[in-house]
Amino acid sequence: MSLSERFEVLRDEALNSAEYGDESPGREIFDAISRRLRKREVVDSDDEMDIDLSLHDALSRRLAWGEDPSAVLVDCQEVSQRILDAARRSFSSADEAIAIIAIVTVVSCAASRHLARVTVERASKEKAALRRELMAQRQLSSVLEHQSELLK
Amino acid sequence: MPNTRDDSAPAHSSSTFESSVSGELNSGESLSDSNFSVQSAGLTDVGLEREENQDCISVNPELGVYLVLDGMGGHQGGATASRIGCEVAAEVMQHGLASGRAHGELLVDAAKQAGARIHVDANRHSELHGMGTTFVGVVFANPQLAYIAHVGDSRAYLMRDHRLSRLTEDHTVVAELVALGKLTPAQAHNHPHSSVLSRNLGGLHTTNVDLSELHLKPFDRILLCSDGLNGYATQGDIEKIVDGAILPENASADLVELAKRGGGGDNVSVIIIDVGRHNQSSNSNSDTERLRRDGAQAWWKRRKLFLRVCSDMGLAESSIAAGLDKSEAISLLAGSYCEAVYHDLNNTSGVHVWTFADSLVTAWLGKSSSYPPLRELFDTLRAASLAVCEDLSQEDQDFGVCLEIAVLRSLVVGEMVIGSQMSTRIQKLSAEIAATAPSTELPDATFSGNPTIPFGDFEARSQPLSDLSDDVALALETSLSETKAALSLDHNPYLAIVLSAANESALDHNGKQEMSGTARELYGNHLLGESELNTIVAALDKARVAQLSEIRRAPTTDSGAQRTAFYLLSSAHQILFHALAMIVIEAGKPTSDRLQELQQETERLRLRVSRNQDILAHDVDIDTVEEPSP
Repeated sequence: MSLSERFEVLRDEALNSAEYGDESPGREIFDAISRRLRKREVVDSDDEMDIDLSLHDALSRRLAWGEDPSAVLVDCQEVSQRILDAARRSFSSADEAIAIIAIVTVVSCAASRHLARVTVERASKEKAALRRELMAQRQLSSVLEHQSELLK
Repeated sequence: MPNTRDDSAPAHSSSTFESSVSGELNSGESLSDSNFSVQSAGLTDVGLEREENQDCISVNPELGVYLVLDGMGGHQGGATASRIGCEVAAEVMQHGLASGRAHGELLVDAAKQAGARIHVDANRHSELHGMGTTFVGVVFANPQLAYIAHVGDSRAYLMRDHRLSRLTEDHTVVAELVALGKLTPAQAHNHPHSSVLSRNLGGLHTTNVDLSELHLKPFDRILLCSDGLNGYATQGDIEKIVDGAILPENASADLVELAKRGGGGDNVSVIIIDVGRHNQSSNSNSDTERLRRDGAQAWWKRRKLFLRVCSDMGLAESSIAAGLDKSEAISLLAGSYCEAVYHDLNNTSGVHVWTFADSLVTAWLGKSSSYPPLRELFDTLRAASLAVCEDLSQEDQDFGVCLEIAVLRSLVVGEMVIGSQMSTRIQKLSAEIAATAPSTELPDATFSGNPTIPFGDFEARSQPLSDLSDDVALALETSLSETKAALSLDHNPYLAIVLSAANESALDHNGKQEMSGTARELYGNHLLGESELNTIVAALDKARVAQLSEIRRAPTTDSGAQRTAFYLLSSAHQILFHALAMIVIEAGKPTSDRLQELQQETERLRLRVSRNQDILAHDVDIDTVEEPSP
């Protein structure tokens, strides 16, 4: 069995599949690690800073459905930690364990980074919206004043 | 601490040069070239016990000349000596530099001429007889080279690579006896005459002046001080402040405060000179930088408004303030919070509000008191904060919004403290209930998290990590030192913080939750939407990749130790990244909440306008139309 196949066996241990089935929270982390492992077997190299757009997409989709970013982050963190623990325990070869741990770290950090950046982007939009609301309120207040005078 | 008797914020107002004035801050910047630039600030204070300030400082960033003099001799003699010394030395330096004299030689000459003038004046006026002064001075030949001259026990220190080292040896009788081998350092430490000077300016017509040359690197920070600082603060504490403060103004004000907290028995004077630091921070006109620069001042100027709103909202009647009269209650609750926000804005940190909230909430909940008064208190603080921001928005709307976001973030910190304390309280209660309730069978958990199919020797490696073996600890330490050597830490201050925090967390693998403190230190009080996040994230990535690569690359005979070290370090880096992301997410929440509030308010206004339009269009009787509800 290849490393990625053996890693897949840990899915039920790392994810709460018993309760959520295929939609377990944090599955995007597990899938991203799986993808990296498979890619590593094909390409035989692992660029630390390689961007996984599927991971970004999966996380963004959860946020778009209205999930709280901190809840998504906590899921990612918990799943990463469980995978990390499982990998340390389950792979007899130190090289294999280290390879898995390295990939988990890359993916987990990528998820945290993406969520932080998405938050920053959203905050800058909200900051602009905040200013717009304040301007709108001033305009409406002046219209109200004018209307009040007319109504007197 | 801000001076609560004055509306002006402390020690951040003056950029003009005046010396020997108590509490006067001197700051400025000059001496820039393509690679380096020098920024400085100085402060002298009378202290807590003396009636007169006999110290004198001179900060001349244009010439690159910085002097600290500590006068001695009763009946105004000390103050006169240091003032004369300062004036003469500054004048000699000015003329000498204009005529192109060599910097080091000129500084020594300036000190000698100052000493000679003091000596002459002391002999001329009987009431000034015996006066003298210490002297420590720096002159920059260029931003990479400085000369330091000193006489007496005023000191010069250098902060480099987060370590504070002393550049001058005190000219005391005891120190010279130690140098001659007649006393041991231990004997010198407890010597009754350890503070008696062997040299000063003014005691004799000519004085030997020690001169040293200092080659500077970017991010070096020089500290000049009188013995009012090092006599009342440990070198460790001085090091923390000099290393931690972002700007020289902050460092000098904090050092004076440190000496006062240590007793403040003597006049205290400090000058901080930064080499090449401010290019990355204070030149930035980002919202964060502007907020730090001007936001704290703007906030502090509106302190009275803040206190008035709190008072009007009945904060003094809160049961938290029971037993206090109204002014005490307002000062204790609203005043302390206002001060904490000021310091956090000023230092781009969140620790002051955290400390305020933690002390308050611990004390209140510790008495088994109820939650609602705390809620009311924080609601009042929030309303008063928004009133201050609104007031600022009248002058500058954009800046008002920035301040509002920052202040709301402070309140989030307070809310987090409440949440954490409440959670601890609930856990305690649950434990108590569980201990007294009859045991019941719990249903099987749907998700056990138990191992599924272990590969290899499961039993041996599934044990939780207890104490780390020496091999693991050695691997971690080696990777840290190798990584530090490989990376250029000077150019990115975040790298050193990340590397050390990850390593400490890995070594103390049960204390990983402390990472949120490190993440908070990294992120500070930055506003969202700025390039700082990218800088921090880049530092986190760089440190992680480098440190983990070192572990993998290191030759080892024990693969188990290598695997454990790699696991611990990876885990630590993940937690740090996660903590940073969580802080960023927290930081975004106040903006979202505030936006929702504003949107509701706008909608309400819009409905009122629409109602009025209907009335005006159809000439309806105003009393018959219902008030719209949002």
